[in-house]
Amino acid sequence: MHWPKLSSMYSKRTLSIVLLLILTSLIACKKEETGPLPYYGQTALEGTDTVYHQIIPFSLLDQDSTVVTNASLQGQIYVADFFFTSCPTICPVVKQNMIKIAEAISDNRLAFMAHSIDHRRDSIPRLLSYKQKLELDDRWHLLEVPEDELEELSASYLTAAYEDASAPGGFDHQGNLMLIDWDGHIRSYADGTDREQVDDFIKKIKRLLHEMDHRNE
Amino acid sequence: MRWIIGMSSAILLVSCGPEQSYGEQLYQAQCASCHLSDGSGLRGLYPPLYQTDYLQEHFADLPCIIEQGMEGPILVNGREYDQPMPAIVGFTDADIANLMNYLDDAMLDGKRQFVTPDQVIELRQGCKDSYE
Ligand code: HEC
Repeated sequence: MHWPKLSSMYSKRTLSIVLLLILTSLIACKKEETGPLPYYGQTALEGTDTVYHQIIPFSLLDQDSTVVTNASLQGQIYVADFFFTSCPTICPVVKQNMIKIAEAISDNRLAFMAHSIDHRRDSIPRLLSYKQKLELDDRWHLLEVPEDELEELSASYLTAAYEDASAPGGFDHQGNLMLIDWDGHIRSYADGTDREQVDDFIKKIKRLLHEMDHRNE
Repeated sequence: MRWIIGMSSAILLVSCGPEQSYGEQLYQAQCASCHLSDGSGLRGLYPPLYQTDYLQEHFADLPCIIEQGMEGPILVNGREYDQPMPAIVGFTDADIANLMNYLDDAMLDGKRQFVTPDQVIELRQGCKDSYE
């Protein structure tokens, strides 16, 4: 028995078209995974420039009483979340996942900004002890957020965090993780309780670091 | 007739495979967020439950620990922990019995006698005002 030659069954032309299609789709997919990340939030036009949503100016104290501002994070990108140390429900899971991110990416240009929404109980010594118990490194800032700034700040991260006596632990908030770039733009989101989303988020952070390397080209 | 019921329940059992026990479901829903799915704990913040001297020695305190939470420094397998555990509300006596049986099996040696809801009621009556 002998096998019919491919070229005798399909014309060479059809074959090359099919191959070309496969190739382009492969390249297109690859581009999707390495290109710049999207921008979240409202965009505006200023003249001919597109202006993307930015995190509002902030000046917050971290666990070492160091002032952290937008400017002090220059040259870094960061992962942000809202939590409180006595949170009984989702925060422990979100913190586990943030730790997983920190373990996966040791780059010093990545910082972690964990905002406490419990201004009454989460004093600076308490935030410091929380950081020590979780053995977090110096890239982490556990931040006090003054009561009257919480709503505006969390809204600027496009997430919700507020006091609610009926919620477990007294606060209602979403377990979102936000990825912020060097200019204060939100570039990615993940549900910090969802393992798959967090794994995908880790890839996005690597892409943003890559984008940072190449941004002046 | 009887063999049909027998056959179909056998098929049901086989096709549903190894199922999470009720005690395990309660553990995964109410305790694993802090103590982790396998009971290994989270660094120096949340103590482990898996193979710990503390759970071994305080097994009978579980109903009170769950009902009242815990506060103050404790030593678990030689490491100090000091972070309040909130009370976990909404458990019935039967829930706690199921959970205790699961914890004995999965975290300890599984050698304890089966805990019944009646025993949980008794243990609960012995709770102090707050567990410390
Ligand atoms: C919000 C987080 C949280 C949840 C949820 C939680 N615990 Fe705990 N648990 C803790 C902390 C923190 C301690 C340490 C308490 C201390 O330092 O005094 C602890 C201590 C314990 C201990 C004693 C120490 C040890 O490791 O043996 C046991 C037993 C225990 N928890 C069981 C449970 C069980 C059972 C559940 C679910 C019904 C549960 N916990 C849910 C945070 C939690």
